[in-house]
Amino acid sequence: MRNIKVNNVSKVINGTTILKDINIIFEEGKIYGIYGHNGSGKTMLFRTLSGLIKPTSGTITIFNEELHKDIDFPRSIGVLIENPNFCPNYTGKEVLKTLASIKRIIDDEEIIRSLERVGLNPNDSRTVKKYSLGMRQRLGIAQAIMEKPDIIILDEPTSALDEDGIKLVYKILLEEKERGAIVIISSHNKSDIETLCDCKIKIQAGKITDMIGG
Amino acid sequence: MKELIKGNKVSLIIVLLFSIVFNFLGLFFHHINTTNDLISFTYGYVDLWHVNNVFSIIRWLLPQLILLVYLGNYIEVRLLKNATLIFTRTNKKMKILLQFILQLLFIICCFYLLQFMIVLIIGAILGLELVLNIETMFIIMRLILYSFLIILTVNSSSILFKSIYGVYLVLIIQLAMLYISNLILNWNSYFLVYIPTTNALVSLNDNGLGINNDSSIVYLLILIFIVIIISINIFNKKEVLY
Repeated sequence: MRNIKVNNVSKVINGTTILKDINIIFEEGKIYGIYGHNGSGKTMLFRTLSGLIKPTSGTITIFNEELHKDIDFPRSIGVLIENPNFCPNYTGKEVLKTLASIKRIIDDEEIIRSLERVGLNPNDSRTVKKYSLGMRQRLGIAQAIMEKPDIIILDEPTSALDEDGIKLVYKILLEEKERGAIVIISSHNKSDIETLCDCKIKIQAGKITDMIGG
Repeated sequence: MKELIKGNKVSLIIVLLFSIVFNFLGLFFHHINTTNDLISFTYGYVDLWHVNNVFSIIRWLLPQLILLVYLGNYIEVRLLKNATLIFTRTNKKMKILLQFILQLLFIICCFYLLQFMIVLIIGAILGLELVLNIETMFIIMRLILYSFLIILTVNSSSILFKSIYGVYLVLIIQLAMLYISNLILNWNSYFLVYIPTTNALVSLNDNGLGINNDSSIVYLLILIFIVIIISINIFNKKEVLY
């Protein structure tokens, strides 16, 4: 089974320990929910898994390739961390097209389908600066899933969403799990974690303090 | 008040340092005997007999200020704040940064070319004789390259800190360079060519100070190249914490 192995990962920034001895294995076809207080290290763990920051010590192995040694960042990953600053003068479709032009593995049809999946109108001529918070969140999720990545990391995916939006995100994440992706989310909303996740991980002061399931 | 100081600590330190350095320069190099003289030296005064000199420097600085407002945070907003979305799709950091730098150069070229077209149209309306020669090309190139250097420096500094601090930096450096140029003008004008601000000032190149077009442009290109190399190095080492 393909997996992500996090082995004794620690991260220290300016003398402050942000992550401490993190050990965990994420397996494909499962949803992992990470919860904890603000500043507990959830987002930093996500950045580390995405290859955006280098651990001070420890290793991360993604599908048998070591991050920052064999590969610079995971080969197939979709990420939504905090509020992305999409080009404000682009439409939602133009934002996705610009991002898709980096990897060039999907066409216009798939971009349109991704927008429809998150409940956005692909023909909406409004620019992103006129989007509501919820619409931006949906666009963020669309960009994370559009290239059908093997790993999906979503930081607070249901924040700013209404009830219908939350249901839609649940549906999408379950579909992605069925497809075989490793889905890792964080949430302050307990019901997100309880409803969706196969494994619940509590993180406190940069350390995993509790893990249920998985 | 406390919050204002806390939130703008760096700005306050920069302004304080700037004031201290310039006041000391004033005390050392100018005949300042009273605090009134020092205040007017520090905050500036306009000599109405030579007001054209003020307009001249404002005309030179204004396009730069417009570009700074418009493009000062170009890389910060479009690249750095979207770094998570971009660098989980590619590891070609250098290529992406160079693309953004080229976009900056393109926008600055368009900005100046549009301005020159307007100048030419106004000239035609006024019935001026149309003279376009190699000298004109050098003037345009020098202005574009110098503005590019300024905008590039601000945008590159935004890799390390907020772009507004880069704006402070280039404005203070430019002012300091003009000041230093003034000080060394009486001593040895040969060195003026090595001060980027003076080097790029259009009218100075006609004043027989030993700044010729070719060396001026080569000099600016070398400075731009150095800033780009430093930016790439910093950017490659920087972790994406946005």
